[in-house]
Amino acid sequence: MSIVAETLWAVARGLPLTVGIWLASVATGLVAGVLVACARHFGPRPVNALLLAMVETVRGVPFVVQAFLLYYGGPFIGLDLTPILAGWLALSVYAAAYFSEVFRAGFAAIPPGHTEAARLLGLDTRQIIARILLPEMALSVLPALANLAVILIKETAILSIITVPELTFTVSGVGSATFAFAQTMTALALSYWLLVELTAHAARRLERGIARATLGTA
Amino acid sequence: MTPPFLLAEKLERRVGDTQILGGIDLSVQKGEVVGLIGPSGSGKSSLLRCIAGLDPLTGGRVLVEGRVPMPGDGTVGMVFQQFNLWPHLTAQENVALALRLALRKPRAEAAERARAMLDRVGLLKLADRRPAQLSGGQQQRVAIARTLAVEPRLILFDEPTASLDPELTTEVLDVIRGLAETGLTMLVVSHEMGFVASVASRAVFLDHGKVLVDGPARSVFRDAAEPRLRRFLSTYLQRVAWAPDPAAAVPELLPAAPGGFSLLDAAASPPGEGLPLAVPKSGA
Amino acid sequence: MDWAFIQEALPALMRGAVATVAVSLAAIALGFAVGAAIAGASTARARGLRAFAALYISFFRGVPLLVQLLLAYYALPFLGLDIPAIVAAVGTLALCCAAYAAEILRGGLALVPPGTVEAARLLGLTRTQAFLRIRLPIAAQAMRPALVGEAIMILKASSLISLVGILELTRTSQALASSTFMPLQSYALCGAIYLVINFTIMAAFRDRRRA
Repeated sequence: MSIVAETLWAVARGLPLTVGIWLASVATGLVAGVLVACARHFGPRPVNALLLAMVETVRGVPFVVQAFLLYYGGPFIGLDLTPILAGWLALSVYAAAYFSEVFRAGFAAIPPGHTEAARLLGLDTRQIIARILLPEMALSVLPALANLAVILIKETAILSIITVPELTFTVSGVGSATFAFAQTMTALALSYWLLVELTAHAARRLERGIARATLGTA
Repeated sequence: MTPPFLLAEKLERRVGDTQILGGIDLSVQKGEVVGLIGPSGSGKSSLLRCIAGLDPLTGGRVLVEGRVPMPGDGTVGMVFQQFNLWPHLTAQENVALALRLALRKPRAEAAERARAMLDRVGLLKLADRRPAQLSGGQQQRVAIARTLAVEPRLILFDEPTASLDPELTTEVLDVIRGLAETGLTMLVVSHEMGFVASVASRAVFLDHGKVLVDGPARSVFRDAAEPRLRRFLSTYLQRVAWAPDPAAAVPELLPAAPGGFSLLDAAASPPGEGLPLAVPKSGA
Repeated sequence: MDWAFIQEALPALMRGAVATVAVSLAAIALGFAVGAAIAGASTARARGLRAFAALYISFFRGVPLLVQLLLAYYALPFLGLDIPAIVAAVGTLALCCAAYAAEILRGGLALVPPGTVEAARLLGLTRTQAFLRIRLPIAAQAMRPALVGEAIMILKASSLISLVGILELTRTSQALASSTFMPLQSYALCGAIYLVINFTIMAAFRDRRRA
């Protein structure tokens, strides 16, 4: 097979996993992020302090070190995961830490009176979060969330180091096998560039659409 | 003697070094409309918030119909200075939400009731508008409809017109006056003296976290003997009347008339101390 | 807590940490210098310059740093450029930093109220004086949090140059993990050191103007 064909085949093999792990991590990260933000916003102070420490730790340690910790260190605490599972888990935790900060800022931006009025009218905390706070801040947090999601696409490349067969792994594999580094690495760079630009573009379109739908103004 | 509808005993609220409420006693009968007046920082809003259960008390207790009210149990409703409408919902949805979620009414029934409430405040035509598309006065009226919908036993109004442009104040005050005439038990904190004097059956003057004057509205305004109250009322009037003339003869008292008010007995005021002025009847 | 392990591991890890900090500082310094040029190009009158700046920023922010490093390390020799690994590593880190720095600089300068500059010019300051004495200091203050964030980002990103063989903190931890068969402790300690460096940066640049 020619180098070009091998590279394209590698892209075809690796890209779905890249996108798959990315989507799965974003989904898990969003859910976990909202839960953490709720716990920090509504919970008792010690809980807030503990979660703050955890969030700052995840945000402060390089992702590659966290991936190593989980994949290589995991078995020592009974967490023997396959590369893909470890990759998804590590990326989800990383994502959740960043997403939770965005949601926290979203909560803080809502006038406390909105929550007070809801409470006086009889809504319980779960209803307040789901029907008032989250919809209200949906528009304001969307740009930051979309931004983070796009950044996470790039972080998936690091998972190649713990042998997750995603895009970087498959294409650089072709490179090492054929020594055609220039072509393969260029193809790799271009693939990510395209992927990131397209996703960023789609995210902007999504924001505009939601703006029109929720507040009646674009 | 029937136990009071609302009983506040020795309410105290201390935050850090500040004594916001320093021992307040208040009892309100069913159907009374009580106006709370006083300078800023006197604790009026804090008092309302403590009765509603939004801010914790450091001393004393509140009883409504013999029970301690908890926020959301349907006892106490509140209309806020900032309206606090939920921006992502239409007017009708704002009013209906609590009916559906807290009172668990089916969607159709909640919608019907919400529309009835909006009609009561004169806004049925704007039911499908979002708050951003409503004027301040309209937003506040929606907020009132929202509070009425859950049929609270006691409604608190925390400076309901303070955030409104003057032209929009009247429409809201009219709605509140209408509610008072239906026999709802209400506590109103307001700087609209004319409104308080004409709508409230009772007036309570607060200063520095304490009740200084508590009595029938008419006499509180007319016979203001307490010097701090006089000072408060006169500075208010001076602001409104723009250029008080100390040499002018102090006018005669006019009785409170519907839609208007006038204040302060000249005879009781010492010369030169913030001379009161009669204010012409405000239009309804 | 295995104190014996920590005691034995610390010296090597600290050497790695020093390398990490040195590399990061070099990358940040170079990065902001290049970034300033890119920021200038992005506001230039020439369409070509603006297009180049946009393309540059898009590329270095769109491609993962790991791939950029692989590209520099493996592909450049094929173009005849035989540069030592460390230069390739720091260079790539710097070029990547430049893309983010350009955005920060552009944003910071845009935040300066035009009125302050107009006032300076009206009072007789030259364009250069107004820029250096008025616009830049005001912008610098506005950019402070973003700059701290960027510094931390580069510090974390520097962990990837371990994959092209540079002996910094992460690489040292990897060696430690494989030689002691204690990856959990090695990487945990490694992470802790990164956190310490981060907190030092944040503490150093904290807003002290709260009298």
